[in-house]
This record gives sequence, structure tokens and C-alpha cells, in this order.
Amino acid sequence: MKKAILLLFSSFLLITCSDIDQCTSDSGLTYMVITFHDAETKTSKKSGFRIFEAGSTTQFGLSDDSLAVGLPLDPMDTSLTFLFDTDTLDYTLKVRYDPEFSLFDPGCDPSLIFTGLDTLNSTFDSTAIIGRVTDRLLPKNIEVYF
Amino acid sequence: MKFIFNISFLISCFFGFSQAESEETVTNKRVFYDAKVGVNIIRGASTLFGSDVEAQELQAALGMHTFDLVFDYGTEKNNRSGNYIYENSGSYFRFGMDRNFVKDRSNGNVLSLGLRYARANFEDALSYSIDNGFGLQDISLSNSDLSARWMELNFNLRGKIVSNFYAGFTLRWKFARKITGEETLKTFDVPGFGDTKRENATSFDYYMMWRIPFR
Repeated sequence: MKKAILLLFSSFLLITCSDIDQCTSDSGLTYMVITFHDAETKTSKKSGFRIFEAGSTTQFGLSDDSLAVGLPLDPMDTSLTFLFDTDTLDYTLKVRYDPEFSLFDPGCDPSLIFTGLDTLNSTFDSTAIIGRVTDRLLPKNIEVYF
Repeated sequence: MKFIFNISFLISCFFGFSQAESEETVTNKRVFYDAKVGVNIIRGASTLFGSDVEAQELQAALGMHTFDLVFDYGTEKNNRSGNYIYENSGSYFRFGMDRNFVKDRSNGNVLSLGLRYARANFEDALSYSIDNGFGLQDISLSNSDLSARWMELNFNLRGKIVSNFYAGFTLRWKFARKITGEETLKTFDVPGFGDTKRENATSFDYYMMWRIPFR
């Protein structure tokens, strides 16, 4: 009986003491990742966009001849329209999402992620939702084809 | 389905154990042996010594021939802060049965394994300032009507200190947690359960109890 109680205590301590986290192990992202694709060949496409929120002059992102861009989402709202601007082309993309706050660990800042990501309308040729949650474990959220 | 199977398995093991023993024992036994009421001093101490957690918990147990009926009630208030303020407060209860393996029930000692169903009703709130590319925004979120339920597997040890005064600990393994009522803010603490970093949780509680023996 004494051995059984000792074993129980040891197992209990092992389970309890394994509960250590680091802030960097939080996989949540505060932005979505958009990748660019050629509408005809469906392959990845390097693009250079200046990206703004509709009605704002603040530039969110500059995809400087790159295959992808990370765009922040407003945690005080549930939808956002982005303007993708080049010297010759303009596209818009309106997305909806649900912000979600949590405490990953009391020693870390609160974690913000966005779930239920979807496109409401877009002037790109087409879009595809790949990941509806902003998480580091997902390589991208939305593919845009043009 | 997996949860129902697990619970059924645990209950069948639990009651199967008791049936084997009861067949061996003499049939002419009293139904109720004693009642115990007590307080969880670990939770009480956290309140007294200025922790961020204010908690109190009472326990009542009714000792029968091979089983103890146990009921716990507690309140808990958590205040966490850093670059944010997170407050969580509410109450919880647990009830269930323990299989007491002590052969002589008249001495009031307890060495038992038990199952509990637990439920908490609580609220939480988060205040935080964040700049996610839209300027500094003050976030103020709350959940006013949260509830949670979970199951526990308990190991209990209680021994007589003096007269009818008993003390002992309970090791808890908490599982099958479900939280309802969450909105934009996902809750971090569940009163009586602990934090929500893991699906399961463990805790160590120490009780001081007063025994009322039945003649």
C-alpha cells in the first residue's frame, strides 16, 4: 500500500511539474497571410502591392515583389476591406473574421487570434480560403488569383 | 462517445471493486457511520497570505459502510495582471462518491478513491491595450454568464489528529472539462478547476475536518 501511495504521489508530481510554458510557444498570429497566384497557371506569383485599409491612408503592407504578405486585422471590428494598389492595377479584398482574446500564460501578454476567416467580396479573379484561423502552424490563410 | 465510455469504465471498475468486498463482509452493518465537515486550508491560506487568488472551500462527507458521499462548495476570485488586467470570479460545487478502503470504519479514518462531478458558474473580464496596426486600442472584454463542468478522479487520505478532529489531503485529477458562455474572450481560469492551459488539471488540497460519529 505504501508503495502504491508513493507511486501515485510521484505520478501526480510529474504531471503537475510538466506545466511550464514559454510565451514564444504560443502559435497564435495577430495577422493573416495572403499568397499571390497566377490566375491562369495557378502557380505562385511574385507581386509588388501597396496595401491600405479602405478609407485610410495608413499603408499596412508592401509586398515588395514577394509571394506573400501578412496583413493585420482590426480586433475592434469583424470585417475589413483592403486595397491592393500598383501603378497599373487596383484590387480590393473584403474579409470577415472573429477576433479572439485569451491568456496563453499569465506571464505573457494576452494572445490575439482571428477565427472564422472568410472573404466577403473581392475584385481579384478568384480567392481561396486555406486556413480560417491565424496560426503559425498554418502556412497561409487566403490565396488570391489574378 | 469516448467520454461516455471512459466514465462507464471508471464507474464499473469502481463499483465492481466494492461488490467484491461487500460479499466478503458480514451483512449486518450500519448504513451511516459518521459525517464530516471541514475546510480546505490550502485555498483558505492563499487568501490569508495575500495571493492573487482569493478562495474558500468547504467540504461535507457522509460516511457509509464502504462508500462516502462527498459534497464540496467553494468560491474563487483571481486577479491577474501584467500589461493587462484579467479578473475572474465565481463559485463551484462538486459531488460524488468515494470508495473507502479502511476496514474499520468506526475510527473515521479514510483511504479512498472517488469520482466527482463538478460544476462552476463564474464571470471574467480582460482590460488590455494593443496596437495591431490600427493605433493603440483599449480592449475591454467580459463574459458575464460562464459555466463549466468537469469530472474528477480523487485519491483521499484522512487521519485522526485528536478527538473528533481529522486532517488529510486529496489529490485530484480533473478531466472532461467543458466551458459554455465564452464570447470574444476565452476564459483562462475556471473556479475549482484551475487554469485552462491544459485540457486536464491536477490539484492538491488539504482539509481540516470535524467528525460527527453516529452511534
